[in-house]
Amino acid sequence: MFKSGHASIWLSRKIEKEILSECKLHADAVVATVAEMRKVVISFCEGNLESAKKDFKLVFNQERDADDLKREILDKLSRGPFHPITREDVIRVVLTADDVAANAKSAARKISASSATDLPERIKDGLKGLADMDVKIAVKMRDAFVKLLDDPEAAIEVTHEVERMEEEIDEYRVALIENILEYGDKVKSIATWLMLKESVENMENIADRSEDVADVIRSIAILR
Amino acid sequence: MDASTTLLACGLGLSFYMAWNLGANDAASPTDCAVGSGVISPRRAIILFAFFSAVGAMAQGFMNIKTIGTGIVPDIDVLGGLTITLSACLWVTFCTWKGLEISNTYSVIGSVIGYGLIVHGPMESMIDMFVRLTVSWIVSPLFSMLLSIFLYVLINRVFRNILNNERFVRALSFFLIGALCFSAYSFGANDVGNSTGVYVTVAQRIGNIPSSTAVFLLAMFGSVGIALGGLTWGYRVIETVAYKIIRLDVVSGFAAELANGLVVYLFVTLPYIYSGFGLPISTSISSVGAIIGAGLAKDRRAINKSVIARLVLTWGLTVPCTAIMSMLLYRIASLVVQIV
Repeated sequence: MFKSGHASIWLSRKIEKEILSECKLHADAVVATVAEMRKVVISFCEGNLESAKKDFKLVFNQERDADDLKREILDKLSRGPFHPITREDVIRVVLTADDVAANAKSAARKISASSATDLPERIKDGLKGLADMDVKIAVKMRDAFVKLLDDPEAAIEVTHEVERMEEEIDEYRVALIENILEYGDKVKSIATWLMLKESVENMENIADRSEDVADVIRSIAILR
Repeated sequence: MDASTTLLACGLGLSFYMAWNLGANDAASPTDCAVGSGVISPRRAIILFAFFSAVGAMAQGFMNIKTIGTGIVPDIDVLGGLTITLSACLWVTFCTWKGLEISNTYSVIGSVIGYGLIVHGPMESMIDMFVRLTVSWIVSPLFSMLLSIFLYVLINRVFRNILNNERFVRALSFFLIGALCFSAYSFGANDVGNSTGVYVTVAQRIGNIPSSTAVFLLAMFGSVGIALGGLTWGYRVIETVAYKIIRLDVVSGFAAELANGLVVYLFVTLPYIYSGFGLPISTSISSVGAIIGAGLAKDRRAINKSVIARLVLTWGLTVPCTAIMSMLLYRIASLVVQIV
């Protein structure tokens, strides 16, 4: 942390702490969006498309709440003569975390527009597994935020865990995509198959964006 | 070398460190608005700061040096000079290490009050200074905030038709640099006393020189420390504050900078004219007040009340903490000197 007794630097660090507390609330909303997306995936895999469509509405509302929080944070960051010392990093982290929620919404929308009829069990298990891993990585990303406020060194450790989880999800997705591509040769409706495949890409993007958030959290932690 | 000379040498060494610290941490106060609004580079700003703060220290530094040296307590012995400076240095270093906000002015005055309490007991001059300090702690940032708002509104009203004119902005940029120089001058006049003021009576006695000569030499000594502090570490602080923290354009930057410079100048000069003693104020408090004013003038939502309230409270703790530390240090040092 850059040490100086100058009043502006002190002010800036305090404002930064307040903003990061609000970023934590935004991270909570993002995690909730991913958790709702998981419910959509489970309903879909169990063949309950009506329930999947209803669950999608919850994803939609949750993502909108995250959006509102993001706008509030960005509005605060653009106001006033004193700004947090890591303002650019905080903006990046909020926008990237927002991408996590956006991908969760997109995944939920696409999967609820697909069809589970004749979908092999191994693909259903793969989808449920991927959704579970997405929730875990989103929760870990949120943990990094929580630690950042009080223990930047511990936050850095958590960001390394996020990185490892992203690598595991990458490997997992490769296997799942292979199964989906194989299934594509036999499927009757190309449109619903495409929705399914793109939904998996969105679910993989959740992990990628979570890792990007973790990278920025690491930069902020190093400067604190 | 006898004991007094040794103590004086140690004390002046710490004084120099204090002056260096002032320059290092507070060079940003007169320069942040000009650098942040892009009218001058940090390197040129630092050079102007070093030059004009030295000019201010030499030209008017005697006003606050006199206050610190003889305005709170009638005199300060060589051991007292050392322990006061040590107390202030320890507090400033501790706060910097912990990332807390510091006011060098209040650290020194608190330490002098602590020394005075233990050597002379409560005196009217100490109580008077404490009351004046408390008033200035509240009045100076309010005054600089209101003045900043006034200047901003005035410029916008008078020049509203040409605010976007490139020539006007360029002309205002020169005035902003002028405000930087004036602000640095005021800073030097106000703050040089913080580092060297405690040695006025000691320098007179040991050097056997008149008070005016002692004050001049101490001002020169302090101004070198301040200039060096600004030139060595101040650059980093300015870059951080100007580019990452403060967001003001040329108009609001000018209003804030001029308001800050004027308030510090007036608090040094007017009390001296009225009572023969300048009133040291915290240039960082004044600077923050001015910047808040400029921010408020543009956007009424631009103030984070809870954070500002915590900052003001932190400043308020400085005087009692440094007074206690100074009392303890003087007591311990006296016992050590007796034993030795």
